[in-house]
Amino acid sequence: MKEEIKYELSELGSSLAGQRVVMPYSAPDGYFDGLSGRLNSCIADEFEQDNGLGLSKELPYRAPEGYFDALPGRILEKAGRSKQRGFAITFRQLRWAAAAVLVVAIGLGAVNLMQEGNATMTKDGLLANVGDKEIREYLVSIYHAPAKGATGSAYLEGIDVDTRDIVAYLDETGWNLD
Amino acid sequence: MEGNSDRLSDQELISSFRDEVSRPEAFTKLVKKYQERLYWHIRRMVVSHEDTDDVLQNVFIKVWKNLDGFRAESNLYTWLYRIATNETLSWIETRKRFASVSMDGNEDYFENKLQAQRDFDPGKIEWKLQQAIARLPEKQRIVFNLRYYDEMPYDDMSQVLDTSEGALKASYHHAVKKVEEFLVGS
Repeated sequence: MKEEIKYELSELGSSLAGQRVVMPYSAPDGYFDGLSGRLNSCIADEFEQDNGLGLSKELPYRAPEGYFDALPGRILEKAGRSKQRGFAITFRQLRWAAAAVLVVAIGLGAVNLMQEGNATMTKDGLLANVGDKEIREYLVSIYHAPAKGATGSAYLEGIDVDTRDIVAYLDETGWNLD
Repeated sequence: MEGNSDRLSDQELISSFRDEVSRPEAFTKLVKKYQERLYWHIRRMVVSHEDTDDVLQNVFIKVWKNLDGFRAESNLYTWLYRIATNETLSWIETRKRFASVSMDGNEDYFENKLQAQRDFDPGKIEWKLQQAIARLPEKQRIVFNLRYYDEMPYDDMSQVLDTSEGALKASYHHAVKKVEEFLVGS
């Protein structure tokens, strides 16, 4: 037994670790000598012989006299006919298809126009319903909101800025509208 | 498990098999090279010689049919073990279906086959071990046999059984515990 297998068994606390590996079965004498020969004949039976029934593979049916000689010509003739018919049908179908495409395009265009109109109306309608007071409150809430990023920034730490400084800065830059 | 020289000769066998002229000879060589290992792998699972012979012949017929398409992505020997394992499991599955119809338990079937073996002696440790193995679920039996008797590395076993190495180790550990319990208890 390989050391690796023995070690694994002893790690698992198995008594097999300390025993010799013995296979108690036995194969009949000469079994392995004849196996490949038997297999080859088995395979020959399966793949190389006839259908295994010992009967002729010839079918009792017969094809009409000259059938196979005329067959290629008949197939070509049929193929040519179906090709011509195929073109006529395709041309007629093409006209119908063009008409159908036109109808669908007009329909889609109309639907699209109606949707755009609705969208504009909806936007305008909504704005019309909002009063001046609400708009003013909204704007005040935006412009008077504390700028968290700036006031909380470490960049401003240690800089002494008061209202007068800010008014002076706005005067300088032309942003003071008072 | 397989050395480089073995692998090389496997490649030679395969290319020789692909040639129509040398095919029968290559096949005979392949059978002679692997017949015993595969025979014992199957025999440990199905117990009787007659059943083993049936399964082994089916295995080699499948090899004949499919060796042309074998791609050297895995070792030839793991591929052969894989066919043998699948064929054995199919045989056991068929046997189980027959057992469920005939009301004859699967465990009893293998137990009877064991007791019918020449030289069977329930007092001997090697026969007790076979009894313990026969009681394991099929997958654990295969893993136990491949590891304990064939001393197959887990990575090769992983290719044969298409299972992760971790799962195989866990399966082997469970099997060893169950076998030990049986040996201690009997």
